[in-house]
Formats: sequence, C-alpha cells, structure tokens
Amino acid sequence: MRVDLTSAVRFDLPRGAVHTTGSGLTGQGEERAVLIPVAALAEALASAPRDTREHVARAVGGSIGRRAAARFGGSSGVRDADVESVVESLAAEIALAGFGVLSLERWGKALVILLEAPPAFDSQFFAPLLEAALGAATAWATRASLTCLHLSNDDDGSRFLIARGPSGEQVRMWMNSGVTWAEALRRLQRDGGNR
Amino acid sequence: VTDRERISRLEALLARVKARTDEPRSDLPTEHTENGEQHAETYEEAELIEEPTDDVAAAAIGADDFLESSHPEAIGHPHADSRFPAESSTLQALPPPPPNSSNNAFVAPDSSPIVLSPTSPASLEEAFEQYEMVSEVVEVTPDAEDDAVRPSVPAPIMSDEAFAQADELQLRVSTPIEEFQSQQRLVVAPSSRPVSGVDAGELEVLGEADLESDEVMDVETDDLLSRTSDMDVQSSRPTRQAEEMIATILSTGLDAPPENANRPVLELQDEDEIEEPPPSSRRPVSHEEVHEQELTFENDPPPSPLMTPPPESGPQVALADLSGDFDADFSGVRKDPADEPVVLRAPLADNSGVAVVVAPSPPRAAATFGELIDVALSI
Repeated sequence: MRVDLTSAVRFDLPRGAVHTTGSGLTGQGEERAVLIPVAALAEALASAPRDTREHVARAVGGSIGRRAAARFGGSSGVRDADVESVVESLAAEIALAGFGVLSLERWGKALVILLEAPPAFDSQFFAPLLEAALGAATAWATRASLTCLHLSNDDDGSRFLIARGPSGEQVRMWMNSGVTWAEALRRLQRDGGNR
Repeated sequence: VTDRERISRLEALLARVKARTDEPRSDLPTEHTENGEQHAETYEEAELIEEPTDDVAAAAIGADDFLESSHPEAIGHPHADSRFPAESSTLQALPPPPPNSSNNAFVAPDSSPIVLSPTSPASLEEAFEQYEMVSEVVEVTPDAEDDAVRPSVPAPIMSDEAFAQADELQLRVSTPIEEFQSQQRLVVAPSSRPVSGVDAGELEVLGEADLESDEVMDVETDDLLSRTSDMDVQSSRPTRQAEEMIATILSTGLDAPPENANRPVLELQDEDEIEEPPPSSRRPVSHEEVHEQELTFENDPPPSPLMTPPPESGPQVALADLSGDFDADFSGVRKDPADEPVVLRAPLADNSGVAVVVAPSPPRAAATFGELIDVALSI
C-alpha cells in the first residue's frame, strides 16, 4: 500500500489557519496546526524543563501515531497490517510533520528505528516522540510497558531501540558502562533482558 | 793682573751680587753698579754718549768684559750662553751704527755706554793687556766649535731684525750664535705677542719697558760665571775657589744651568752606514695587533696582512653530454638468468562454489506488524 497524503495539510488563508487531516482512530476531524520555525522550537525546548520537553514530545508523537493508525482503522488494524504498510504510514506522518525519514532495522530480535535527517533538536526529544507514536499506533501501552531508548547518532542518522521497559534499562546500563550499542544489543539477545 | 787680583775681584763681585740679591727689586733698570759697571742703559742715555774710539773700546772690553768674551773653553760652558741677554738688550736700545764706521772687529759697539763709565780701567796699558788676552781668547775657529760639545739651544724667538743684529754681534766677537742662549729674547718680547711681526722700534720700547732689575742681575751673574770659567783655563790653582763661588752663586737662587747643558749631542749614523741584516736573521713580515682603543679617526687602520694571491682562474672545461647514453633503470648490477626461479601457479579464478558459509538461521520474518512488535518485545 502506498500512503496517500492528498490534502493532508490545508491552508485556509482567508482565515489564516493551517489544518491537518484528522486521524480516523481518534474520530477527530481536521486538526489546526501552526508553522513554527525549528530554531524557535529548539530554543523553547532547550530552555524548558525535562518533563516539559518529554510532555511536548509525547504529545507530538501521539498525534503522529494516531494519524498513522487512522489509515488502518485503528490500533487493531495496525497490528494486523503487514510491517511494510505500517512503516510506510508512520514514515509518512513523520515526514509530513517535518521530523525526518523513519525506517526500521532488525538486529536479531531487537527492533531499531533509524531516523534520518532529523531537525536540530535534542536526541532525547525524539525518543519520547517515537515511543508515543508507536504506543498510539499499536495501543501497546495497554498491554505492557514499551521503551524507546536512544542508541547513537551516526552519519546516517539517529538510532533508537524499541524494547520492554526492563530490557531497555539493561541496555542503558551497559552503554553507560562503556559498552557499545551493538555489543549491548548482542548481550541483550544472548542473555535476554529477563534476568 | 794676577790671579789674586782676579779672585779679589770675583769675591767683590760675589759680595755685590749677594747685596743686590737681598735688595728689593725695582721696576726701573739699574744703570750703574758699585764698581762703575754699566750693563743696562736706556736709549736716551745711550744717544748722549759719544762714539768711543777703538782703543778706548778695546780698553773697555779689557777692563770690564774681557772675561765674558768668548773663548774656546767657554763655548761648552753652560753659563756662557746666558751672556747674550744683557748684550742683546743693549744692542736693541742703541741706534744702528753709522755705515762708514770703521770699528775694529773686536770692538763691541753695544758696550759703548760702558766705555765712558766712571769705572773704566785704570790705565790703557792694562786695557791693552786685557785686549790682547781677549784677542787670543776670542779667536775661535769654526772647526773648534764643531768639535766641542754644544749645549742644546732652544729655537730662537726673535724677529728678523733682531737676528740680524745678533749676527752682527756674532761677527764682531767671532762667537758662534749657537752659544748665545736666547733667554733675553724671551724676556724682551712678550710670549703672548707674536714676535714675527715686531719691528726694531717696537723692540726698543719693549726693551725699555720690560727690562727689570732681575735681568740685569742675571747678566751680572753670567758675567761672573764667565770669568770663573776663564780663570779655570788660565790657572788650575784657583779652580777650587772658583767652584766654591759658583756653588755660592747657585745657592742664591740665581740662574741655574740647564740640566742638559753638558749632555753631548747624539749623532745619528747615516742610513747608508747601517748594515743590512743577513737573510738568515730576517723574519717574515708581521703586523702588530692594533687594539680598538688605538684606532681613532686620525690613525689609519693597519694594513691588511700579507697573503698569497689567489690562483689565477682559467677557462673551465665543460663536461661531455652524458644524457644520450644514460639509462635511468640501470643500477650497475647485472642480473644472472640462473638466479631467477620459475613460478608455476594453478588457475583458481572461479572459486564461487568452493566454500559454503554456515550461519545461524535469521529470525523468522514477521507476517504482521503486531507479530514484529511481539518478537521485539520478547527479549
């Protein structure tokens, strides 16, 4: 399936308003949006406390996940949909919001999201955003805790690990002790995160 | 005149000198002495005196100045040179002699004021006797002058006219001018005034104004010394007495003889007579090191040391062109064909099916996105 982004954003110039196509999952219609320069948003996020930054990021990510899931008729449709279609829908919503190009990597059983060409925001801003997007799209939060952990910033982009809460915390500890993110993923698959 | 009389005269003269020394000095020149000797006369007084005759003049010389006349033994005497100042001052004060005057060569016209003095000699015979003695003494040959040791004579500071008058006096007394020390010349002409521009008339004024009693005293002392020296020649017995008198005179603080008066004149050998050192004793030319302190603007820097000239440079021969036969790869070591081995290699270009990689099976592909999430969250 190909994501149809026709009339995804509507500019109502006589009223001076910008509207995004509403997601079918939430049942809401169009959503009014504003165009904010990246520098102004980055400065606002940098000066804001951590909880504020995470709250903003989760709000933006939830909106993206809901719009992506709206194409599939809700979170159940997402779970039953093939992987490529869901990835295409999520990547389309991320790109429409202007946060870069999203892709998925599988390192064994570990699921890694690669975000290419993101805006100049703090990497800690995108982790809660992606976590909220996936949670809103799949409604996984109702079943178990889902954690999105920032792994690295490479030339090709930023990588984030999607794992359970305890597994994500173990990888964080390994990386804080000097273990590379690749070795941490190997240890996670060898030893498991359920120790 | 016997020696005793001479000694008595000298003693009297010595006593007079001492008395004159003790007397306070006055600015006016002394005209007469106790014995009637007149050594310094002003120009006005000299004009009133009649010209003396030859005999009287000779008598005057014999009476008063015969001992101060020049003689060979007195030439080398250091005090003999000091006689000139008094005579020179008198000479300058007197007018020039008439051109047709036929004076004797031994007559001293400058001593004419002395001739008519009240203390002239007692008799003409004595004067003639003294005249003969003076004539014998005065005749000095030039050869004898050269052989004698002469005292060093400073450069005369006089005008040409004064020199001419001095030369005239020299001819009259047949005494070389070198004997007369130019002390009086220095006294007559002020040292601060250039002497070259002074004429005869000015010299007269200077002689009148600057002539002091000290100069007369010097003249008298010199006369005494001359007499003592003459006495030494004629008789050896009173020599000790004369020496004592000289010592007494010198102790009074009068003119002392110059230190280098008896110093013989060094005669340098001619350059031709200097023998050239033998070649074996010659040393290479070397320059003394000159310090920077010695280098001034006036001194020229020392010449550069002598060095052998550089070799002459001739035409340089160009090398032959070797670019044509030059081989850049040739290292000079030639290979031997027997040293290189022959390598046989098998053709292994197609090796695609040789190896089989056995790896763990990849995870099963998730059919749905929900299954993918379950697998990812299973670890």
